[in-house]
Amino acid sequence: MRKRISLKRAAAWGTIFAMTAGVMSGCSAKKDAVVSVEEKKIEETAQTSEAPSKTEGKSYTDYSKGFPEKVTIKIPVYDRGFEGWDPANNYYTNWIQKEFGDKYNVTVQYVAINRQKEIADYMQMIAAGNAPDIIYHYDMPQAVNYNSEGAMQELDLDEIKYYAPDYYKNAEKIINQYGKLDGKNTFFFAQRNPIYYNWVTLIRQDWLDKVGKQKPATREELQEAAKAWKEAGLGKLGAQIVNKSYTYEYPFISSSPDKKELNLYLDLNVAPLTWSATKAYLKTTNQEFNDGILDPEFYLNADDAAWKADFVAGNVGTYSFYLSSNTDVISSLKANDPGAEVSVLSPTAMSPKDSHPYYYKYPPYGMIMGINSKTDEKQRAAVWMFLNWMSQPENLFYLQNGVEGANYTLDADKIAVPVKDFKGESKLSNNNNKDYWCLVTEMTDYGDEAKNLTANTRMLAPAGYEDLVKQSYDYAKEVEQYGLISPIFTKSVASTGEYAADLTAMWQEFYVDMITCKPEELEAKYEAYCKEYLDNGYQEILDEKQKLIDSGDFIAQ
Amino acid sequence: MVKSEIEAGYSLNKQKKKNRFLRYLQRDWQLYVLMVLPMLFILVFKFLPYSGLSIAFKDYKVAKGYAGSSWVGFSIFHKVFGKRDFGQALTNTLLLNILDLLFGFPMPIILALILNEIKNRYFKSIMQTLLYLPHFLSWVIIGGIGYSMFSVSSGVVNILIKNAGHSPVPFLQENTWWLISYVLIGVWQSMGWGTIIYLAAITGVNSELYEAARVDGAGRLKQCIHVTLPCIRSTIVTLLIMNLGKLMGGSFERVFALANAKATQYTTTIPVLVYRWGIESGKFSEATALGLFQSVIGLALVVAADLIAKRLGEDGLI
Repeated sequence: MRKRISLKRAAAWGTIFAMTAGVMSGCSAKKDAVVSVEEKKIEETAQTSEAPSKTEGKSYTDYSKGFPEKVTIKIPVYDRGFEGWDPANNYYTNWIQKEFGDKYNVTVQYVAINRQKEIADYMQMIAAGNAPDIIYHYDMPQAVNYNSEGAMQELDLDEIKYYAPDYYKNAEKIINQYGKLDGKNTFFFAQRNPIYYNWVTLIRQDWLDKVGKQKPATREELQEAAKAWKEAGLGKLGAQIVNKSYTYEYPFISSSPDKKELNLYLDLNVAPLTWSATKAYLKTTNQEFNDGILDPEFYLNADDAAWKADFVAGNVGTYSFYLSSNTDVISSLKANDPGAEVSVLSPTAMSPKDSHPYYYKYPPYGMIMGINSKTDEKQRAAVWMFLNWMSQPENLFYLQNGVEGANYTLDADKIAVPVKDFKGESKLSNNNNKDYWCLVTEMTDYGDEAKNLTANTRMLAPAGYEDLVKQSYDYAKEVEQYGLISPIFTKSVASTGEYAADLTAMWQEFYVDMITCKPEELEAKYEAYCKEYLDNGYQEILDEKQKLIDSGDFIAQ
Repeated sequence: MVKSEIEAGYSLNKQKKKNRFLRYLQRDWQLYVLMVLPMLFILVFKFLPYSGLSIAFKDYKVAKGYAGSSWVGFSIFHKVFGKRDFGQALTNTLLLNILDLLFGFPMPIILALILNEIKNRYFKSIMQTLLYLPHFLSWVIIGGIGYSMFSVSSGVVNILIKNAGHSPVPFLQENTWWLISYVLIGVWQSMGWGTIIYLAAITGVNSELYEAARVDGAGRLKQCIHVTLPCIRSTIVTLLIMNLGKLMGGSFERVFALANAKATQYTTTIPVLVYRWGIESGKFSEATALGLFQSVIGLALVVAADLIAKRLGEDGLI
């Protein structure tokens, strides 16, 4: 009995001890943290007074010999779900740590951002206070949104110039032109020397041959071909639901567009339902749907994979995507139908014959970046030094191509020739490590268009399909003059952030209904939907944009 | 005089109570210590999150945090109630859930009664396992299966219908059909799992009651209606009250997985709006306000149902 009681007692004491220890350790860890922050502050002030260097009246501490105390910077990297690839810990992140981090006493910590839901990821991290030191996005409206959430800090351009002279030299022009928001230096950029031939629409050449049609050069010819396919029982035109990155209307912009309208309506984030170009698009697509030449369930294709599956299965004869050497779309198609042949459809085949093949043209910058509002001075310095390090041609080349002799060999023109199906430890990520070097540039650049084409062909074409890249390049050259850059506002358009999600839901509902309705119903539906769209936020967006245009708060292209 | 006596008695009483508590604490302190952890759990994970509701009354900016964002009173609610989608979401949520209650609630009861009548043990357990199975599938999977079975051009069912010479049925691609499919798929998914509680309640029914009924000449059906059902009535009422609380909620995944851009009349519901505002566009204040509104109404419904149940002589829940 006594023994049992003492056992009980021991157990109770044990529990108490464990709990108290837990609580105490919780408290004491916090205490330590407080102390260390204070110590850090004292040290910081001591160090900053050490050896300040002056640039145009401002002083910066020189860290080129490395930071006296370890500095940790968090760098975002897109997680695209590549199989067997850990975006935050792999051969290249280790290499970066070794080559840059260890040299300057910096820990480069990569933070994986899910590419499919990056905004939600970022927002949650910003709310939790552990967002990366660089906050980035590919499109300006969302970058502006992050800033209006208070997530970014104002930049000191001289500081960038001081710590990252090479990076700044490359990016100075675009930072000066596009980096200001509401009068403050907010964004810095990666360069973009745009190529347009990696976005391709494949068309079933064997189907065209079967029905005796030439490759279409206008929308009308494309429709004729599709009608012939229908009669021959082949397949339809492919499509996927349009509910983001609105560029559907470009091929339908009238041949002599009104500049004012372009500035007002072109917008990746909000579909310009009430614009004449949209009406033309809806009319054409509605006709195609009713003629039975458009995939009747295009709206069920919520993502690229669904459209791809339709194309591979031979249900549809066209498919648009970013071409890359490791795409499996052609091999899967061939496995399904050994007689299948593909070629690239001309962008002019998207436009009706009386209008021009306008297309969405990228602005001259790639990634749009801001510095996290919680990032301190030393981390900022380390970020700039990191960008400068990455801007060095040899480092960039290594990140883009891997190890010479393993990942690639050099040809006579010093252009990398990737080793096909390389599987060694220095294997690049499935998009050639783009998500690491996108901080400084969006494209590989050999400084010469012909060389770039050779290099890009190697990167973009699946083995044996180099001609697809050539075709796409030729078409891109043909329509080069028709690129339109959407206007960039230098003040945030608050109503866009407010209404974009609701308008997107509305747009999706309306446009699917207008494409799938009977042609004679279209006009009435269009009018009713436009009114509803305007009443529920779009009018406010247009008014706000018009005001910014009138006051000159936008960058004219 | 009397007053002070009463006061003295009262304070004595209080003192006694306090002493009693201390005595208990001294005697059973181990038990109290053991309770600390679960209490902390409830505090941290159940009560502390309530402070997050404050952002429904603030112009919440993620980077500024709870404390740094400014108070704006009820203006977020005004904004939310004024939105085009709010009214639609409200009616849709109620409509979908009422239909669910009408068709989904009785099904497990009927099924439990039927299962209870199966005498072969092996057959019964196989049937139960098969019926429970859909409960373990995620809605995303069910959505995928749903489209590959019921879509107009490539769904298996519609291919069969077409082969039989009829025109295809837009089970998921036309508003009214979508509503019917939504309810039926929901019933299919949940009815098996729902039987568990009823079957447990049925096991508790005194077998003498059945014997007495049989002596009185009641057949299987009569036994069901006059013995089993009245005996599990309190279980039914409890579950009904709990289900009434869900009238304003509902599953986000279910609507989202089954929705498409063609049949949109019934797919804007409160959980979908919370997702669209909160997760897709980062408007946390609006999403929280909507969620709070939904919870308050849900709570009111439960309390009302509970009161009614008590009036009707049932035990109630609270």
